[in-house]
Amino acid sequence: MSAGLSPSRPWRRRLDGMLSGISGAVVVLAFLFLLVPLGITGLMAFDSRSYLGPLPPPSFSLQWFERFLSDPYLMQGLRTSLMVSTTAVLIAAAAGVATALFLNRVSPRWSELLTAFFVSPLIVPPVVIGFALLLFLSQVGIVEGFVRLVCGHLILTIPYTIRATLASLAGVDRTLLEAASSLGANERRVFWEITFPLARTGIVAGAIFAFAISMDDVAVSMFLTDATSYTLPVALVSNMRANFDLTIAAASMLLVLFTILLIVVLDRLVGVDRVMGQGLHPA
Amino acid sequence: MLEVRNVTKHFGATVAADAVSFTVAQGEIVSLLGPSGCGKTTTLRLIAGFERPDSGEIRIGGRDVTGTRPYERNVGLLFQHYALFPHMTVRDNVAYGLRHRGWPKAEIPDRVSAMLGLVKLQGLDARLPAKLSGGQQQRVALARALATEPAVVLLDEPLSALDAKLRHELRVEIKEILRSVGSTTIIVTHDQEEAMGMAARIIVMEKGRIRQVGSPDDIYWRPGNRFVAGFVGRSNWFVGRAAGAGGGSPTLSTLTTEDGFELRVAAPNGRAGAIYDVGIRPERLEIVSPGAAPAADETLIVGTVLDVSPLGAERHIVLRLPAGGQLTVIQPNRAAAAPGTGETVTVRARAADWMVLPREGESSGV
Repeated sequence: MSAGLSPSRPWRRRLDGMLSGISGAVVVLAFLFLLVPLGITGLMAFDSRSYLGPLPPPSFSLQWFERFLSDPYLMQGLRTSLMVSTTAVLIAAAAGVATALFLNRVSPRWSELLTAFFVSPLIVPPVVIGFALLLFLSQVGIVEGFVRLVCGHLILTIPYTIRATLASLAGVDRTLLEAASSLGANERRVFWEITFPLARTGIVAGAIFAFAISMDDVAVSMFLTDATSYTLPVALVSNMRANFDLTIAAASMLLVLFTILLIVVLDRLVGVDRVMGQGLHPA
Repeated sequence: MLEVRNVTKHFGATVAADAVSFTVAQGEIVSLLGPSGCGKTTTLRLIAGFERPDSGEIRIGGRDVTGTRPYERNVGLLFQHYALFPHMTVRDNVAYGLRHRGWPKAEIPDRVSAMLGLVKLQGLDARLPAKLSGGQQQRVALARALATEPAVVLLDEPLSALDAKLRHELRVEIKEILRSVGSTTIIVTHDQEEAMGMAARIIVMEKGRIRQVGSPDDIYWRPGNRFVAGFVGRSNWFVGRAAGAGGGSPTLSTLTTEDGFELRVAAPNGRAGAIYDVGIRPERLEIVSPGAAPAADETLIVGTVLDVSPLGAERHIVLRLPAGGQLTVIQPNRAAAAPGTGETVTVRARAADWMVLPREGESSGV
């Protein structure tokens, strides 16, 4: 009797084989599902035809990129996007550092509660944020599009800068701060000479990530634009409604390229997972 | 130089320091010794200013510093994990305190070189800490801590992150440097060897309280209580009841153990019937030839060899006593043959070598 060992049941082994085959297939499908639309967009961006024709394009050109770059409406959107995101991220980074520093000093219970509160915009639907903010800002009399956009993008970016700063502050060894203060440095000097330099890369990484998030936003920005202040993604959406052509494909490719560039820089700095990952509960 | 007066610190419901008082004289090296959680680290943090006492007073150089910030005290610190600033070179690390303590700018480079010379690290001043070994890092930390001529130097488990051999070397070296500089020093450690090797005076702590203050020899040979005796070194313990003065000698008395075994010890001050903890260090026991007659101040104990461990310099022999207990004997590991397992041996203990402590919780007076 060989109880327990069951060499006489080949169907079990076959079932195991089937299961791993199925999970492999699912991975391939998911991969295709994620990448094929992007691939098609990339291909179409270089289409030399002047209309939306069937795949594959018979020949390639850069005409859609030229059109995008010479379109005053879209270029205005790009300018606004860059300005809104830069302004928002700079403020968000400063606010994130200040908030994270405060959270780092209060008792762990309060800190956890407040962190959850500050990071909560991440789970509120952007449409709700956009609408609520539009309502609030018009109530208090702020109607200028640029200011409204910056406000909206602050809400979008602050959670990321707070998270990143908390994670990088947690990475600074407390005994270093004690050593510095025993050597005669007061609290402000300890912060500027020890804490900040050691946490800086993490803070910058958080800001870059927040910038990428801000550049890509449509849902919140949609509510906050006006006739002259609109972001590039919003411009692309409305352009698509008016006349559907492949300028969007070219613009999308440039956005993707830009985001990839940012992520690469980010990864070089600290590693992406540190910013996207468990920032709420720094190890 | 340093006075700690009646300092108490609670963390929640636990008392980390309970009415701790001691003073350290100018140039003295004192150790706070105890198991983890005994309050030694809290005491150090209170002196450094990282914690504020609930009550009590801390004075450095005659000045009351109880309520002041760490940077307002002239205290140098050495941390277990060095705590060098990783983004600064060795030079900038050592210069850090000098810059903040207001040394004239022109003098700082010379002072830094002198300090690096003191810890024998000349030529490494442009390195980052990560490029140094653990021992080198701790030397840089020592140079950094001593550079500003602190009134008090606090060492927090300074060697426990290093491996055993390096630990010994660096201990001797640090002690030498501290003595040459004339630093008033407190070493916090759980390692009795570190405490006894570096400090002239040891303060043993347990559960936030000071249990004994004394020289390394006092602590080892004349422990004030069972805790100190048990924490420092090894010993064999019995419980004995005093038979009263007598045995023909005014300086000797006899304690009877629970098993009816009679020990001849130097006379304790208790009355007849009082109960004592009696202990003896294993290296004070001597294996003698069987059948020897005991002198008046000697006790002979017979036991069976249970285990012999030759541990290099010394040999540990564990005996089983007829009544069931065990007795450890430590001999120098010399050529003389070790007894074999199962052999019956006779061990001699001298009266003066017994540590006789009143049973805790039973006052010997009333």
